[in-house]
Amino acid sequence: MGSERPLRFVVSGLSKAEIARAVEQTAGDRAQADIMTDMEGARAVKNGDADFFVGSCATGQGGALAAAIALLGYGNCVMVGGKNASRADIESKVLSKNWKAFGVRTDQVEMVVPALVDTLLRRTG
Amino acid sequence: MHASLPIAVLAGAAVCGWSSLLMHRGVANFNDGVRPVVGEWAQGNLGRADLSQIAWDVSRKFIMHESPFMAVSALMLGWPLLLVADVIGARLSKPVPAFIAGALWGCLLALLVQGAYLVLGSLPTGIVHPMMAAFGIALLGICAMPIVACGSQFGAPAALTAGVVSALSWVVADRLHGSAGPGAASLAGLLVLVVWSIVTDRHRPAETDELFTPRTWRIRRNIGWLIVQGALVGFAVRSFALSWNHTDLIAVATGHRIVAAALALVMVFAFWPSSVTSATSTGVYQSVGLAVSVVVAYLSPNPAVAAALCALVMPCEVLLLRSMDRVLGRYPTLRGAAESMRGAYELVVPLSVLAGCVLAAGMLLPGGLGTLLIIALVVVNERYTHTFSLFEAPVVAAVGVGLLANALLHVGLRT
Repeated sequence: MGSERPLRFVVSGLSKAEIARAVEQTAGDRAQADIMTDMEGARAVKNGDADFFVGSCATGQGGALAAAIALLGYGNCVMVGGKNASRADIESKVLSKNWKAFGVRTDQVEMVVPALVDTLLRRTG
Repeated sequence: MHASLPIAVLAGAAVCGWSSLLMHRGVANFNDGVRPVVGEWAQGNLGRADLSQIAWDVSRKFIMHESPFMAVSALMLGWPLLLVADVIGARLSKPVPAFIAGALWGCLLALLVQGAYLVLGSLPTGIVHPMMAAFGIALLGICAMPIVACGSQFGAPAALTAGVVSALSWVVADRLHGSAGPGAASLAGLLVLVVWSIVTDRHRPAETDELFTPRTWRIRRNIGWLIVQGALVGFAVRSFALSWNHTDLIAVATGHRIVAAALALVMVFAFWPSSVTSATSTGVYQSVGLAVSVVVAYLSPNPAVAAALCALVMPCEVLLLRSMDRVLGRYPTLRGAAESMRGAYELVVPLSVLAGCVLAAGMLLPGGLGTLLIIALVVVNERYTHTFSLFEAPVVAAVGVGLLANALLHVGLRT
Protein backbone atom coordinates (compact mmCIF):
# COMPACT_ATOMS: atom_id res chain seq x y z
CA MET A 1 0.00 0.00 0.00
CA GLY A 2 1.49 3.30 -0.98
CA SER A 3 1.19 6.44 1.06
CA GLU A 4 -0.18 8.57 -1.82
CA ARG A 5 -3.75 7.49 -1.64
CA PRO A 6 -5.95 7.62 1.46
CA LEU A 7 -6.27 4.52 3.57
CA ARG A 8 -9.66 3.01 2.85
CA PHE A 9 -11.80 1.84 5.74
CA VAL A 10 -15.22 0.25 5.53
CA VAL A 11 -17.19 0.59 8.74
CA SER A 12 -20.20 -1.33 9.90
CA GLY A 13 -22.29 -2.28 12.91
CA LEU A 14 -24.10 -0.47 15.67
CA SER A 15 -21.63 2.41 15.91
CA LYS A 16 -20.79 2.80 12.23
CA ALA A 17 -21.52 6.53 12.13
CA GLU A 18 -19.39 7.19 15.20
CA ILE A 19 -16.53 5.12 13.81
CA ALA A 20 -16.66 6.91 10.45
CA ARG A 21 -16.57 10.24 12.24
CA ALA A 22 -13.64 9.15 14.42
CA VAL A 23 -11.70 7.99 11.36
CA GLU A 24 -12.22 11.32 9.62
CA GLN A 25 -11.35 13.34 12.72
CA THR A 26 -8.19 11.34 13.33
CA ALA A 27 -6.84 11.04 9.82
CA GLY A 28 -8.30 13.95 7.87
CA ASP A 29 -7.63 13.35 4.20
CA ARG A 30 -5.18 10.55 4.87
CA ALA A 31 -8.04 8.09 5.25
CA GLN A 32 -11.61 7.65 4.13
CA ALA A 33 -14.37 5.73 5.85
CA ASP A 34 -17.30 4.27 3.95
CA ILE A 35 -20.34 2.99 5.81
CA MET A 36 -21.63 -0.37 4.56
CA THR A 37 -23.40 -3.44 5.80
CA ASP A 38 -21.06 -6.02 7.27
CA MET A 39 -21.27 -8.34 4.28
CA GLU A 40 -20.68 -5.53 1.77
CA GLY A 41 -17.78 -4.23 3.81
CA ALA A 42 -16.12 -7.59 4.21
CA ARG A 43 -16.52 -8.27 0.50
CA ALA A 44 -14.96 -4.88 -0.32
CA VAL A 45 -11.87 -5.81 1.70
CA LYS A 46 -11.76 -9.27 0.17
CA ASN A 47 -11.92 -7.82 -3.35
CA GLY A 48 -9.28 -5.20 -2.60
CA ASP A 49 -11.71 -2.29 -2.86
CA ALA A 50 -10.97 -1.34 0.73
CA ASP A 51 -7.97 -1.80 2.99
CA PHE A 52 -9.58 -2.49 6.36
CA PHE A 53 -12.93 -3.46 7.86
CA VAL A 54 -14.04 -2.05 11.20
CA GLY A 55 -17.15 -3.54 12.76
CA SER A 56 -18.89 -2.70 16.01
CA CYS A 57 -21.27 -4.36 18.42
CA ALA A 58 -21.83 -4.67 22.13
CA THR A 59 -18.95 -7.11 22.57
CA GLY A 60 -16.76 -6.08 19.68
CA GLN A 61 -16.59 -9.70 18.60
CA GLY A 62 -19.43 -11.82 17.29
CA GLY A 63 -21.85 -9.34 15.88
CA ALA A 64 -19.08 -6.98 14.79
CA LEU A 65 -17.02 -9.58 12.96
CA ALA A 66 -19.37 -12.41 11.93
CA ALA A 67 -19.42 -11.48 8.25
CA ALA A 68 -15.74 -10.51 8.21
CA ILE A 69 -14.77 -13.86 9.72
CA ALA A 70 -16.94 -15.67 7.21
CA LEU A 71 -15.38 -13.92 4.19
CA LEU A 72 -11.88 -13.05 5.33
CA GLY A 73 -11.15 -15.93 7.67
CA TYR A 74 -10.86 -16.11 11.43
CA GLY A 75 -7.09 -15.55 11.31
CA ASN A 76 -7.47 -12.14 9.67
CA CYS A 77 -9.89 -10.68 12.19
CA VAL A 78 -9.29 -9.37 15.68
CA MET A 79 -11.08 -7.53 18.41
CA VAL A 80 -9.32 -4.40 19.62
CA GLY A 81 -9.90 -2.71 22.92
CA GLY A 82 -11.50 -4.55 25.80
CA LYS A 83 -11.51 -3.97 29.52
CA ASN A 84 -8.64 -1.76 30.71
CA ALA A 85 -7.01 -1.69 27.28
CA SER A 86 -4.52 1.16 26.88
CA ARG A 87 -3.39 2.90 23.73
CA ALA A 88 -0.18 0.91 23.89
CA ASP A 89 -2.17 -2.33 24.11
CA ILE A 90 -4.17 -1.35 21.05
CA GLU A 91 -1.07 -0.42 19.08
CA SER A 92 0.64 -3.63 20.04
CA LYS A 93 -2.30 -5.75 18.96
CA VAL A 94 -2.77 -3.92 15.67
CA LEU A 95 0.92 -4.29 14.81
CA SER A 96 1.11 -7.95 15.86
CA LYS A 97 -0.14 -9.20 12.52
CA ASN A 98 -1.38 -8.00 9.13
CA TRP A 99 -5.01 -7.91 10.25
CA LYS A 100 -7.75 -7.13 7.78
CA ALA A 101 -10.74 -6.68 10.06
CA PHE A 102 -11.13 -5.12 13.49
CA GLY A 103 -14.00 -5.42 15.95
CA VAL A 104 -14.70 -2.58 18.34
CA ARG A 105 -17.09 -2.37 21.28
CA THR A 106 -19.72 0.31 20.86
CA ASP A 107 -18.77 1.92 24.19
CA GLN A 108 -15.09 2.11 23.26
CA VAL A 109 -15.22 3.73 19.84
CA GLU A 110 -13.85 7.09 20.98
CA MET A 111 -10.92 5.48 22.74
CA VAL A 112 -10.06 2.70 20.31
CA VAL A 113 -10.64 4.05 16.81
CA PRO A 114 -8.16 6.98 16.93
CA ALA A 115 -5.45 4.66 18.23
CA LEU A 116 -6.31 2.06 15.59
CA VAL A 117 -6.26 4.56 12.74
CA ASP A 118 -3.05 6.26 13.91
CA THR A 119 -1.28 2.92 14.17
CA LEU A 120 -2.36 1.77 10.74
CA LEU A 121 -1.38 5.10 9.17
CA ARG A 122 2.08 4.88 10.73
CA ARG A 123 2.50 1.32 9.56
CA THR A 124 1.47 2.01 5.99
CA GLY A 125 2.68 5.57 5.63
CA MET B 1 -46.22 -14.08 35.17
CA HIS B 2 -43.46 -16.44 36.17
CA ALA B 3 -42.89 -20.13 36.78
CA SER B 4 -43.18 -21.80 40.14
CA LEU B 5 -39.92 -22.61 41.89
CA PRO B 6 -39.86 -26.34 41.03
CA ILE B 7 -40.57 -25.66 37.36
CA ALA B 8 -37.99 -22.88 37.23
CA VAL B 9 -35.36 -25.16 38.77
CA LEU B 10 -36.24 -28.00 36.40
CA ALA B 11 -36.20 -25.73 33.35
CA GLY B 12 -32.98 -24.01 34.36
CA ALA B 13 -31.23 -27.31 35.01
CA ALA B 14 -32.40 -28.90 31.78
CA VAL B 15 -31.61 -25.97 29.50
CA CYS B 16 -28.24 -25.14 31.04
CA GLY B 17 -27.20 -28.77 31.33
CA TRP B 18 -28.04 -29.58 27.72
CA SER B 19 -26.57 -26.31 26.45
CA SER B 20 -23.32 -27.08 28.24
CA LEU B 21 -23.28 -30.44 26.50
CA LEU B 22 -23.88 -28.79 23.12
CA MET B 23 -20.97 -26.41 23.72
CA HIS B 24 -18.79 -29.30 24.89
CA ARG B 25 -19.40 -31.07 21.58
CA GLY B 26 -19.14 -27.91 19.47
CA VAL B 27 -22.73 -28.29 18.30
CA ALA B 28 -24.05 -24.93 19.46
CA ASN B 29 -23.15 -22.07 21.74
CA PHE B 30 -24.75 -18.83 22.91
CA ASN B 31 -22.09 -16.12 22.67
CA ASP B 32 -21.80 -14.91 19.08
CA GLY B 33 -18.28 -13.71 19.82
CA VAL B 34 -17.14 -17.20 20.78
CA ARG B 35 -18.82 -19.06 17.91
CA PRO B 36 -16.01 -18.58 15.37
CA VAL B 37 -13.57 -19.92 17.94
CA VAL B 38 -15.79 -22.96 18.51
CA GLY B 39 -15.74 -23.47 14.76
CA GLU B 40 -11.94 -23.31 14.73
CA TRP B 41 -11.78 -25.77 17.64
CA ALA B 42 -14.18 -28.13 15.86
CA GLN B 43 -11.85 -28.08 12.85
CA GLY B 44 -8.89 -28.94 15.07
CA ASN B 45 -7.17 -25.57 14.66
CA LEU B 46 -6.90 -24.90 18.39
CA GLY B 47 -7.09 -26.84 21.62
CA ARG B 48 -9.78 -26.99 24.29
CA ALA B 49 -7.65 -24.99 26.71
CA ASP B 50 -7.54 -22.07 24.27
CA LEU B 51 -11.26 -22.42 23.58
CA SER B 52 -11.97 -22.40 27.30
CA GLN B 53 -9.82 -19.31 27.92
CA ILE B 54 -11.39 -17.37 25.08
CA ALA B 55 -14.91 -18.38 26.10
CA TRP B 56 -14.24 -17.12 29.62
CA ASP B 57 -12.51 -13.89 28.52
CA VAL B 58 -15.26 -12.92 26.11
CA SER B 59 -18.20 -13.99 28.27
CA ARG B 60 -17.34 -13.07 31.85
CA LYS B 61 -18.32 -9.40 31.64
CA PHE B 62 -21.79 -10.34 30.47
CA ILE B 63 -22.59 -13.29 32.73
CA MET B 64 -24.66 -11.40 35.26
CA HIS B 65 -25.80 -9.04 32.53
CA GLU B 66 -29.13 -7.52 33.36
CA SER B 67 -29.56 -9.55 36.54
CA PRO B 68 -31.66 -6.75 38.07
CA PHE B 69 -34.34 -7.56 35.49
CA MET B 70 -34.37 -11.14 36.70
CA ALA B 71 -34.57 -10.17 40.37
CA VAL B 72 -37.69 -8.07 39.92
CA SER B 73 -39.49 -10.49 37.60
CA ALA B 74 -38.44 -14.02 38.70
CA LEU B 75 -37.60 -14.74 35.08
CA MET B 76 -34.19 -16.05 34.05
CA LEU B 77 -32.53 -14.37 31.08
CA GLY B 78 -30.43 -16.03 28.42
CA TRP B 79 -27.14 -14.37 29.31
CA PRO B 80 -26.47 -15.73 32.80
CA LEU B 81 -27.80 -19.16 31.93
CA LEU B 82 -26.32 -19.78 28.51
CA LEU B 83 -23.06 -17.83 28.74
CA VAL B 84 -22.15 -19.97 31.73
CA ALA B 85 -23.16 -23.03 29.72
CA ASP B 86 -20.66 -21.87 27.09
CA VAL B 87 -17.90 -21.53 29.70
CA ILE B 88 -18.68 -24.86 31.36
CA GLY B 89 -18.97 -26.71 28.08
CA ALA B 90 -15.67 -25.32 26.86
CA ARG B 91 -13.84 -25.95 30.11
CA LEU B 92 -14.79 -29.54 30.94
CA SER B 93 -13.27 -32.24 28.82
CA LYS B 94 -15.87 -34.93 29.53
CA PRO B 95 -19.53 -34.69 28.50
CA VAL B 96 -21.22 -36.04 31.64
CA PRO B 97 -19.49 -33.62 34.03
CA ALA B 98 -20.26 -30.80 31.58
CA PHE B 99 -23.93 -31.69 31.64
CA ILE B 100 -24.04 -32.05 35.43
CA ALA B 101 -22.15 -28.83 36.07
CA GLY B 102 -24.43 -26.96 33.67
CA ALA B 103 -27.52 -28.44 35.30
CA LEU B 104 -26.28 -27.44 38.76
CA TRP B 105 -25.71 -23.86 37.61
CA GLY B 106 -29.19 -23.77 36.10
CA CYS B 107 -30.64 -24.93 39.43
CA LEU B 108 -28.64 -22.39 41.37
CA LEU B 109 -29.58 -19.53 39.07
CA ALA B 110 -33.27 -20.39 39.31
CA LEU B 111 -33.03 -20.46 43.11
CA LEU B 112 -31.19 -17.14 43.22
CA VAL B 113 -33.63 -15.43 40.87
CA GLN B 114 -36.73 -16.69 42.64
CA GLY B 115 -35.18 -15.97 46.03
CA ALA B 116 -34.35 -12.38 45.11
CA TYR B 117 -37.87 -11.90 43.76
CA LEU B 118 -39.38 -13.25 46.95
CA VAL B 119 -37.28 -10.96 49.11
CA LEU B 120 -38.01 -7.84 47.06
CA GLY B 121 -41.71 -8.60 47.08
CA SER B 122 -41.87 -9.35 50.79
CA LEU B 123 -40.44 -6.10 52.06
CA PRO B 124 -42.82 -3.76 53.90
CA THR B 125 -42.61 -1.39 50.95
CA GLY B 126 -42.79 -4.04 48.26
CA ILE B 127 -40.55 -3.38 45.28
CA VAL B 128 -42.01 -5.83 42.80
CA HIS B 129 -45.38 -4.18 42.24
CA PRO B 130 -43.97 -0.74 41.34
CA MET B 131 -41.44 -2.44 39.04
CA MET B 132 -44.25 -4.21 37.23
CA ALA B 133 -45.88 -0.80 36.76
CA ALA B 134 -42.53 0.39 35.41
CA PHE B 135 -42.37 -2.48 32.98
CA GLY B 136 -45.92 -1.76 31.88
CA ILE B 137 -44.83 1.72 30.82
CA ALA B 138 -41.63 0.40 29.26
CA LEU B 139 -43.58 -2.09 27.18
CA LEU B 140 -45.47 0.71 25.46
CA GLY B 141 -42.26 2.47 24.49
CA ILE B 142 -40.54 -0.71 23.32
CA CYS B 143 -43.14 -1.15 20.60
CA ALA B 144 -41.66 1.89 18.87
CA MET B 145 -38.48 -0.04 18.00
CA PRO B 146 -39.50 -0.87 14.41
CA ILE B 147 -40.47 2.75 13.76
CA VAL B 148 -37.06 3.94 14.92
CA ALA B 149 -35.41 1.23 12.82
CA CYS B 150 -37.33 2.37 9.73
CA GLY B 151 -36.20 5.93 10.29
CA SER B 152 -32.62 4.90 10.85
CA GLN B 153 -32.49 2.73 7.74
CA PHE B 154 -34.66 4.61 5.26
CA GLY B 155 -35.24 8.07 6.67
CA ALA B 156 -38.23 10.11 7.71
CA PRO B 157 -40.75 8.91 5.09
CA ALA B 158 -40.29 5.30 6.19
CA ALA B 159 -40.51 6.23 9.85
CA LEU B 160 -43.68 8.20 9.24
CA THR B 161 -45.20 5.33 7.28
CA ALA B 162 -44.27 2.85 9.98
CA GLY B 163 -45.64 5.18 12.63
CA VAL B 164 -48.98 5.60 10.92
CA VAL B 165 -49.34 1.90 10.12
CA SER B 166 -48.34 0.94 13.68
CA ALA B 167 -50.75 3.41 15.24
CA LEU B 168 -53.65 2.22 13.07
CA SER B 169 -52.78 -1.39 13.86
CA TRP B 170 -52.76 -0.58 17.56
CA VAL B 171 -56.20 1.00 17.43
CA VAL B 172 -57.74 -1.80 15.35
CA ALA B 173 -56.14 -4.56 17.43
CA ASP B 174 -57.27 -3.01 20.69
CA ARG B 175 -60.84 -2.94 19.42
CA LEU B 176 -60.66 -6.61 18.53
CA HIS B 177 -58.89 -7.71 21.68
CA GLY B 178 -57.98 -5.39 24.51
CA SER B 179 -54.21 -5.09 25.16
CA ALA B 180 -53.34 -6.55 21.74
CA GLY B 181 -52.35 -3.09 20.56
CA PRO B 182 -48.64 -3.10 21.44
CA GLY B 183 -48.00 -6.44 19.78
CA ALA B 184 -49.92 -5.50 16.66
CA ALA B 185 -48.09 -2.16 16.43
CA SER B 186 -44.70 -3.88 16.72
CA LEU B 187 -45.52 -6.39 14.01
CA ALA B 188 -46.93 -3.70 11.74
CA GLY B 189 -43.75 -1.66 12.08
CA LEU B 190 -41.64 -4.73 11.38
CA LEU B 191 -43.70 -5.45 8.27
CA VAL B 192 -43.09 -1.92 6.95
CA LEU B 193 -39.35 -2.34 7.54
CA VAL B 194 -39.20 -5.68 5.75
CA VAL B 195 -41.38 -4.59 2.82
CA TRP B 196 -39.41 -1.37 2.38
CA SER B 197 -36.18 -3.39 2.34
CA ILE B 198 -37.49 -5.81 -0.27
CA VAL B 199 -38.84 -3.02 -2.46
CA THR B 200 -35.47 -1.24 -2.24
CA ASP B 201 -33.75 -4.34 -3.64
CA ARG B 202 -36.39 -5.33 -6.15
CA HIS B 203 -34.29 -4.37 -9.17
CA ARG B 204 -30.97 -5.42 -7.69
CA PRO B 205 -29.55 -8.57 -9.28
CA ALA B 206 -29.12 -11.46 -6.88
CA GLU B 207 -25.64 -12.08 -5.53
CA THR B 208 -24.61 -15.34 -7.16
CA ASP B 209 -21.07 -15.54 -5.85
CA GLU B 210 -20.47 -18.02 -3.09
CA LEU B 211 -18.78 -15.61 -0.76
CA PHE B 212 -17.59 -18.27 1.65
CA THR B 213 -17.68 -22.03 1.99
CA PRO B 214 -20.76 -22.88 4.00
CA ARG B 215 -20.46 -25.41 6.78
CA THR B 216 -24.16 -26.08 7.25
CA TRP B 217 -23.51 -29.78 6.69
CA ARG B 218 -21.92 -29.88 10.13
CA ILE B 219 -24.98 -28.39 11.79
CA ARG B 220 -27.26 -30.81 9.94
CA ARG B 221 -25.16 -33.70 11.19
CA ASN B 222 -25.95 -32.60 14.76
CA ILE B 223 -29.65 -32.07 14.19
CA GLY B 224 -30.66 -34.70 16.73
CA TRP B 225 -29.02 -32.74 19.53
CA LEU B 226 -30.80 -29.60 18.39
CA ILE B 227 -34.21 -31.28 18.41
CA VAL B 228 -33.78 -31.84 22.15
CA GLN B 229 -32.52 -28.28 22.61
CA GLY B 230 -35.56 -26.91 20.81
CA ALA B 231 -37.88 -28.88 23.07
CA LEU B 232 -36.12 -27.74 26.23
CA VAL B 233 -36.03 -24.09 25.21
CA GLY B 234 -39.70 -24.24 24.21
CA PHE B 235 -40.65 -25.75 27.54
CA ALA B 236 -38.60 -23.27 29.57
CA VAL B 237 -39.91 -20.23 27.71
CA ARG B 238 -43.58 -21.26 27.78
CA SER B 239 -43.30 -22.19 31.46
CA PHE B 240 -42.28 -18.57 32.01
CA ALA B 241 -39.04 -19.70 33.58
CA LEU B 242 -36.78 -18.28 30.87
CA SER B 243 -36.91 -15.18 28.68
CA TRP B 244 -34.69 -14.52 25.71
CA ASN B 245 -33.96 -10.80 26.22
CA HIS B 246 -35.33 -7.64 27.84
CA THR B 247 -38.26 -7.19 25.49
CA ASP B 248 -39.98 -10.52 26.01
CA LEU B 249 -39.06 -10.50 29.71
CA ILE B 250 -40.84 -7.18 30.18
CA ALA B 251 -43.88 -8.40 28.24
CA VAL B 252 -44.12 -11.70 30.12
CA ALA B 253 -43.52 -10.12 33.52
CA THR B 254 -46.48 -7.81 32.94
CA GLY B 255 -48.70 -10.66 31.79
CA HIS B 256 -48.62 -10.08 28.02
CA ARG B 257 -47.73 -13.46 26.51
CA ILE B 258 -48.83 -12.70 22.95
CA VAL B 259 -47.09 -9.31 22.96
CA ALA B 260 -43.97 -11.20 24.10
CA ALA B 261 -44.29 -13.38 21.00
CA ALA B 262 -44.59 -10.31 18.78
CA LEU B 263 -41.57 -8.60 20.34
CA ALA B 264 -39.59 -11.82 20.16
CA LEU B 265 -40.35 -11.97 16.42
CA VAL B 266 -39.09 -8.40 16.04
CA MET B 267 -35.87 -9.43 17.76
CA VAL B 268 -35.62 -12.60 15.65
CA PHE B 269 -35.47 -10.31 12.63
CA ALA B 270 -32.88 -8.09 14.34
CA PHE B 271 -30.46 -10.97 14.83
CA TRP B 272 -31.46 -13.14 11.87
CA PRO B 273 -28.77 -12.16 9.30
CA SER B 274 -25.85 -12.28 11.70
CA SER B 275 -27.09 -15.56 13.21
CA VAL B 276 -27.46 -17.16 9.79
CA THR B 277 -24.03 -15.97 8.62
CA SER B 278 -22.36 -16.97 11.86
CA ALA B 279 -23.90 -20.45 11.76
CA THR B 280 -23.31 -21.19 8.09
CA SER B 281 -19.72 -19.96 8.14
CA THR B 282 -18.66 -21.76 11.35
CA GLY B 283 -20.78 -24.91 11.32
CA VAL B 284 -21.79 -24.14 14.92
CA TYR B 285 -25.35 -23.22 15.78
CA GLN B 286 -26.84 -20.77 18.27
CA SER B 287 -28.04 -22.24 21.57
CA VAL B 288 -31.47 -20.73 20.99
CA GLY B 289 -31.25 -21.18 17.22
CA LEU B 290 -32.70 -18.24 15.35
CA ALA B 291 -35.03 -17.86 18.36
CA VAL B 292 -38.11 -18.73 16.33
CA SER B 293 -38.60 -21.34 19.08
CA VAL B 294 -39.12 -18.48 21.51
CA VAL B 295 -41.90 -17.04 19.36
CA VAL B 296 -43.58 -20.42 18.88
CA ALA B 297 -43.29 -21.19 22.57
CA TYR B 298 -45.11 -18.01 23.57
CA LEU B 299 -47.85 -18.75 21.07
CA SER B 300 -48.33 -22.30 22.36
CA PRO B 301 -51.22 -23.09 24.70
CA ASN B 302 -49.04 -24.83 27.28
CA PRO B 303 -45.44 -25.91 27.93
CA ALA B 304 -45.94 -29.48 26.70
CA VAL B 305 -47.21 -28.32 23.31
CA ALA B 306 -44.45 -25.71 23.21
CA ALA B 307 -41.83 -28.41 23.77
CA ALA B 308 -43.29 -30.60 21.03
CA LEU B 309 -43.54 -27.77 18.51
CA CYS B 310 -40.16 -26.28 19.24
CA ALA B 311 -38.56 -29.70 18.88
CA LEU B 312 -39.62 -29.38 15.25
CA VAL B 313 -38.89 -25.67 14.84
CA MET B 314 -35.16 -25.81 15.49
CA PRO B 315 -34.41 -28.55 12.95
CA CYS B 316 -36.56 -26.69 10.41
CA GLU B 317 -34.40 -23.61 10.97
CA VAL B 318 -31.31 -25.71 10.34
CA LEU B 319 -32.68 -27.22 7.15
CA LEU B 320 -33.57 -23.75 5.86
CA LEU B 321 -30.25 -22.08 6.69
CA ARG B 322 -28.86 -22.17 3.18
CA SER B 323 -32.14 -20.90 1.75
CA MET B 324 -32.07 -18.03 4.21
CA ASP B 325 -28.55 -17.24 3.11
CA ARG B 326 -29.79 -17.02 -0.47
CA VAL B 327 -32.64 -14.72 0.56
CA LEU B 328 -30.11 -12.43 2.21
CA GLY B 329 -28.08 -12.53 -0.97
CA ARG B 330 -31.13 -11.57 -3.05
CA TYR B 331 -32.24 -8.81 -0.67
CA PRO B 332 -29.07 -7.52 1.01
CA THR B 333 -30.84 -4.45 2.39
CA LEU B 334 -32.43 -6.81 4.91
CA ARG B 335 -29.00 -7.01 6.59
CA GLY B 336 -28.89 -3.26 7.04
CA ALA B 337 -32.49 -3.23 8.22
CA ALA B 338 -31.72 -5.88 10.83
CA GLU B 339 -28.74 -3.85 11.98
CA SER B 340 -30.97 -0.80 12.26
CA MET B 341 -33.38 -2.84 14.36
CA ARG B 342 -30.55 -3.81 16.70
CA GLY B 343 -29.60 -0.15 16.95
CA ALA B 344 -33.21 0.73 17.71
CA TYR B 345 -33.27 -1.90 20.45
CA GLU B 346 -30.14 -0.38 22.04
CA LEU B 347 -31.74 3.07 21.97
CA VAL B 348 -35.44 2.53 22.65
CA VAL B 349 -35.39 -0.16 25.32
CA PRO B 350 -33.13 1.64 27.84
CA LEU B 351 -35.07 4.88 27.46
CA SER B 352 -38.40 3.07 27.83
CA VAL B 353 -37.17 1.26 30.93
CA LEU B 354 -35.91 4.55 32.35
CA ALA B 355 -39.27 6.18 31.82
CA GLY B 356 -41.00 3.33 33.61
CA CYS B 357 -38.50 3.22 36.46
CA VAL B 358 -38.91 6.94 37.12
CA LEU B 359 -42.59 6.19 37.68
CA ALA B 360 -41.69 3.27 39.94
CA ALA B 361 -39.31 5.38 42.00
CA GLY B 362 -42.05 7.92 42.53
CA MET B 363 -44.34 5.15 43.79
CA LEU B 364 -41.66 3.76 46.11
CA LEU B 365 -40.66 7.06 47.63
CA PRO B 366 -43.39 9.59 46.94
CA GLY B 367 -43.05 13.33 47.32
CA GLY B 368 -40.39 13.82 44.68
CA LEU B 369 -37.41 12.31 46.49
CA GLY B 370 -37.68 8.99 44.71
CA THR B 371 -37.85 10.66 41.31
CA LEU B 372 -34.88 12.89 42.11
CA LEU B 373 -32.81 9.99 43.34
CA ILE B 374 -33.37 7.75 40.39
CA ILE B 375 -32.53 10.45 37.88
CA ALA B 376 -29.42 11.40 39.85
CA LEU B 377 -28.25 7.80 40.12
CA VAL B 378 -28.70 7.12 36.43
CA VAL B 379 -26.87 10.31 35.49
CA VAL B 380 -23.97 9.51 37.82
CA ASN B 381 -23.73 6.01 36.37
CA GLU B 382 -23.87 7.25 32.81
CA ARG B 383 -21.50 10.17 33.24
CA TYR B 384 -18.98 8.94 35.78
CA THR B 385 -19.01 5.38 37.03
CA HIS B 386 -20.35 3.23 34.13
CA THR B 387 -20.90 0.45 36.63
CA PHE B 388 -24.15 -0.69 35.05
CA SER B 389 -25.29 -0.88 31.46
CA LEU B 390 -27.78 1.61 30.06
CA PHE B 391 -30.42 -1.10 30.28
CA GLU B 392 -29.95 -2.12 33.89
CA ALA B 393 -29.01 1.23 35.50
CA PRO B 394 -32.61 2.45 35.87
CA VAL B 395 -33.73 -0.88 37.31
CA VAL B 396 -30.84 -0.93 39.78
CA ALA B 397 -31.59 2.67 40.73
CA ALA B 398 -35.29 1.95 41.23
CA VAL B 399 -34.53 -1.07 43.41
CA GLY B 400 -32.08 1.11 45.33
CA VAL B 401 -34.80 3.68 45.91
CA GLY B 402 -37.06 0.89 47.08
CA LEU B 403 -34.49 -0.37 49.55
CA LEU B 404 -33.98 3.16 50.82
CA ALA B 405 -37.72 3.51 51.25
CA ASN B 406 -37.73 0.40 53.38
CA ALA B 407 -34.75 1.61 55.41
CA LEU B 408 -36.44 4.93 56.10
CA LEU B 409 -39.59 3.10 57.12
CA HIS B 410 -37.61 0.89 59.43
CA VAL B 411 -35.96 3.81 61.26
CA GLY B 412 -39.20 5.71 61.49
CA LEU B 413 -38.32 8.51 59.10
CA ARG B 414 -41.35 7.76 56.97
CA THR B 415 -44.67 6.04 57.48
